[in-house]
Amino acid sequence: MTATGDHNSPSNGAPSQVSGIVAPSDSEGAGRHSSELSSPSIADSRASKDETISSPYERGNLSDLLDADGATGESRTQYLTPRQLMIIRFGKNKLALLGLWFLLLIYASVLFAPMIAPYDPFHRFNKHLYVPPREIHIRDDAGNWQRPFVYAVKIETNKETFTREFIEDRNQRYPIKLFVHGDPYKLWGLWKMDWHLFGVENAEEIGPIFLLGGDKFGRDIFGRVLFGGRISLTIGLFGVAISLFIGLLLGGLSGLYGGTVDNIVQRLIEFLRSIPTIPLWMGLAAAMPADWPQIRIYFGITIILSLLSWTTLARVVRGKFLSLRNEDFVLAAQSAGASQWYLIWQHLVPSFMSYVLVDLTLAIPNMILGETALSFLGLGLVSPAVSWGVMLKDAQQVVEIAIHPWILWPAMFVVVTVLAFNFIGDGLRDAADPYADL
Amino acid sequence: MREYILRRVLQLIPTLIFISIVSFTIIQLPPGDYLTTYVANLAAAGEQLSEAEIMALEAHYGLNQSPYVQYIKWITNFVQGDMGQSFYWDRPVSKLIGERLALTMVMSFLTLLFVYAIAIPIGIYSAVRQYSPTDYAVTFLGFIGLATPNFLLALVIMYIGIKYFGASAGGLFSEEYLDAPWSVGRVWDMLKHMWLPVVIVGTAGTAGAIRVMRATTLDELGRPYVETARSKGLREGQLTMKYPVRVALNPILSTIGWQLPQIVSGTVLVALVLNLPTTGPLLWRALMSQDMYLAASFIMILSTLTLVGTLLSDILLAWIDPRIRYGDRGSI
Amino acid sequence: MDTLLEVKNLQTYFFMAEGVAKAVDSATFSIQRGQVLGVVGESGCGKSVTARSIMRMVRPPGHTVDGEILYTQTDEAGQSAPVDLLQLPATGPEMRSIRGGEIAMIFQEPRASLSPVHRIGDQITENILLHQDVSPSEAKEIAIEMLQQVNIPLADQRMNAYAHQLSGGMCQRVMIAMALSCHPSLLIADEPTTALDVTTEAQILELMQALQANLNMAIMFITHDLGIIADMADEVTVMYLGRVVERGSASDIFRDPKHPYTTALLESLPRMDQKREWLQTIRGVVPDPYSPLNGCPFHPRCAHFMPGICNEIVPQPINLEDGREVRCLLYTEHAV
Repeated sequence: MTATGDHNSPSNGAPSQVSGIVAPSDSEGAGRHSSELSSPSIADSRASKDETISSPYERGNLSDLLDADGATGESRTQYLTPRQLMIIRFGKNKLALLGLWFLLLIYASVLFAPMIAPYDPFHRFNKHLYVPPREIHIRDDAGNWQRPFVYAVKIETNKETFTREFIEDRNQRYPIKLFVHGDPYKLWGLWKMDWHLFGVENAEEIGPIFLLGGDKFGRDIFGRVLFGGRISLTIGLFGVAISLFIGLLLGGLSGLYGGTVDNIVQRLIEFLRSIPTIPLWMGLAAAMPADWPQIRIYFGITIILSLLSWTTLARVVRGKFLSLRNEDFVLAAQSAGASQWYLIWQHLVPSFMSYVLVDLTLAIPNMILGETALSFLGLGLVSPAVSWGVMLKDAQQVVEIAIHPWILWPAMFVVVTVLAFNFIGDGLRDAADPYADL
Repeated sequence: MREYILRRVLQLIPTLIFISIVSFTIIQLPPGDYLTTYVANLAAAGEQLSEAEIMALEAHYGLNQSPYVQYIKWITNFVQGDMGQSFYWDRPVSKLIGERLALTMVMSFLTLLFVYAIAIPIGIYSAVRQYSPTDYAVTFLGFIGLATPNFLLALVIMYIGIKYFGASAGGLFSEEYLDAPWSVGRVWDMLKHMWLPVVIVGTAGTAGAIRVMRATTLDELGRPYVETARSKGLREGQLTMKYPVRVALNPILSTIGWQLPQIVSGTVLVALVLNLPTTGPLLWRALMSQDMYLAASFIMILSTLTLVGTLLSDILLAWIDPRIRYGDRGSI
Repeated sequence: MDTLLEVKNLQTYFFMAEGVAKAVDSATFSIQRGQVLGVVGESGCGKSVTARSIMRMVRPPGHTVDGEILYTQTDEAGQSAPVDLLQLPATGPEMRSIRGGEIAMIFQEPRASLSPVHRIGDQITENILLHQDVSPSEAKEIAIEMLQQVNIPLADQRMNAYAHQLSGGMCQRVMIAMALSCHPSLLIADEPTTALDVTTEAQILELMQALQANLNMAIMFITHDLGIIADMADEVTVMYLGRVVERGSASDIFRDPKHPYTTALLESLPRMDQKREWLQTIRGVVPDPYSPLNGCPFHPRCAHFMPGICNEIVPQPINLEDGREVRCLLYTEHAV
């Protein structure tokens, strides 16, 4: 979905421009955009600075190497490994860092979901179906500051529309307590516990504390988003791991051996890329028997998603293998008598790992979107499994959304997570460009 | 040029065969077929079928043959335009898909037009006015557009439609035209309804295409040939359009090839949410009920059309770019 | 002498995140009508930016902040009057009619300088139509004629070719044909032969010399190759780090270089008449443009470095005999 489609390798163009000149003059300074196709925001900022960095070896004559004294000027880059450089550059990208922090937060929350969620994901508050998000107050009616509290919720039936309405009872105040006892759970299947990060007492009576509202069975959407994240967020990771395996294997074989192998793999990739994914995914997902256990469906979906997404990666790997085969440093190693495997592991793989990393980061969000779409259609995971897509299935009917808009909250999480991955991917891509400025 | 087209068309054939096998296999994968489900449903409803009756039904639908024979039968008929019988609807598949497919194609084509009509000018503007507020805004919106799955966007827009305009945004026709025969009025009515799904499906593609257009234009703006053009004394606007933009258009047009599968995918999903009379809902129902001939034909036809679309875009590209025309694709 | 172009105190700076790079820092020189001025210097000394400043083609973050570029324009009546190009709007009609019409430019990488998607014929006729009042078919004829003048065989067929179908040398010929199609009075050639192989280079240089004589056109020839300068130039301007450090007639400079930098440049040339173990090089590299040095910018590399003087005082241009000019403290009262 991203613009990565036809990947221009960043090595294209850039090296010839590092002309070993310190002054920006010869290139006219402006407008040397060696940026990749799809790195709009950050990559461009380095344009016109290409010239400022160059190792002393590229700068000119032999005498520099012999008496490289102070006169060589500053060469900020020469003592840093490419990986260190990448980390430094990545660290300067605010959006990417923001994405990283968000992902760390959400993955951690998902890990500790049973503790953070105030209720069990299947705990139904039968009196509080579709209860709107609970308002948390810090000032009482008299205008005094208080520690965070909620008002009790009264359930009234509207006499005209005969719908249930939830009204705050301003007379009953209940403070939000930390580390309250509640639904029992087993953390990571190991430790039996029953305390939750926050909650209110007597929830059945005064109304549960649903930060993001309740669903049609009176379950906590906030808690379910956390539990659902366990599936939605990991399916991308597993799927990417499978894609990585297939992509490295087929791309590597293709690039290494060329010829017939390459031809077959290339045709296969072209074929997979040319068919519309969603119908194929739908077909494959529908082919999974409905009576499979959830865990098997989960892996089934993962495999389906990765079946179509390894192609980008394989292309990158193949391209790198092909271009690196003729690079001077590989030829040098070859002529020094290095074996093929040694070459692959010592030279080829490290030199394209950063690109692979970028593609992985950009592939994960597509998988998250894929799972969401399939489950939303009822072709992927189904209730009782909890995932963001499964939760959104309740929001298929626009009428429901119109009355209870908060059931769209999982969508918000999908979008923000995907954004975060995209920011990181973009940041990594720019950082991985060895010719970019610091 | 003719040779190029011929080569590309020949390459299409093995791909099509492969697609047909994949489509058919998908439908064969699930244990139990439509008949089993059907019989089970009947049994649940209290109507027992005898062995002989079941056999007769199997023979009727050709389900008693080996999958291999079923495939050959299906594909030979398919090529002749007979796509088999839908179990669920008990009607020929070709009759069921006809109009829906046409609507899907119209929608995909309009979406493609929309994507490029929006993305190309915005991408150029964003590149020429790099780091301007507009550029930042476009980049930001592009990120959001890429991150929002289009079925969610459809839901949100429907919600806004109901909440603030009191109108349902679904469907492709007004009530008076719903079952009316085709007429100028009906086409006009359809176009009035179609802009919304087109915008929704096109959002992600537009966001992506803007990024590509912006990045390639930026790349081209600094090239020596632009400087040459400037040194001739061309006006800046004329210069930008004639040289860097002209060159930057090639990669963006060549991406039609991978825009199209995305768009077709998008129309399927969005059609489900917006309840459009296109292929989406029918395919979904077919898959849910294991209506195999219908589903396989759908996947087959959608993929074929996508491939043909890609082929056409490649030919278009070869036609406008001399470097490809002369078999020098590697240098782009 | 008939001065065609006079550049005074030209300053073109690049405003970057790291600081201000003074790509051209008070450059002063002039070009006579019908003469060849050679501009020499190492990579990054500001030669190309100077050329682009004259063409008013410096792109942000670069800006020409000060100076005068007096171009002597001759009107139809034969009256000539100097115009300061820096006073004209860079993209305005006057500047555009000068650019390409009266001052043309050719570049270092001939193939990349031609559009990959337009036929070369169309690129040449475009220039003609922009500056001359002719019909498209007349323009086409002029273009073919120009291609013949630059010795391109089968010129009328080559009009339909694309840049990637021609060799580098051919592309440079096309560029020359395009630049000369409107009979400019000044051609700026920015390292036009650097990307070409030696034989092609010789052919292109020969062609340029012949055309220059025929058309009575001035050339500003930018190169780092002193050999070419010796071959082509009447006058020489030596640049170092955005400044003109020495200028004078070619013969004077090659016979008797005044600036230590010029001397060093000349010494780094391989010579037939001297036997040397090692090729001489200039110590060090061009310093970082963002952190300007005190005093003379060449002092860290200078063989005649005078401590306490060269790293303290900024040298000013000094006029020597025969209209020569040098910017070095060795020729001032500071030298002992």
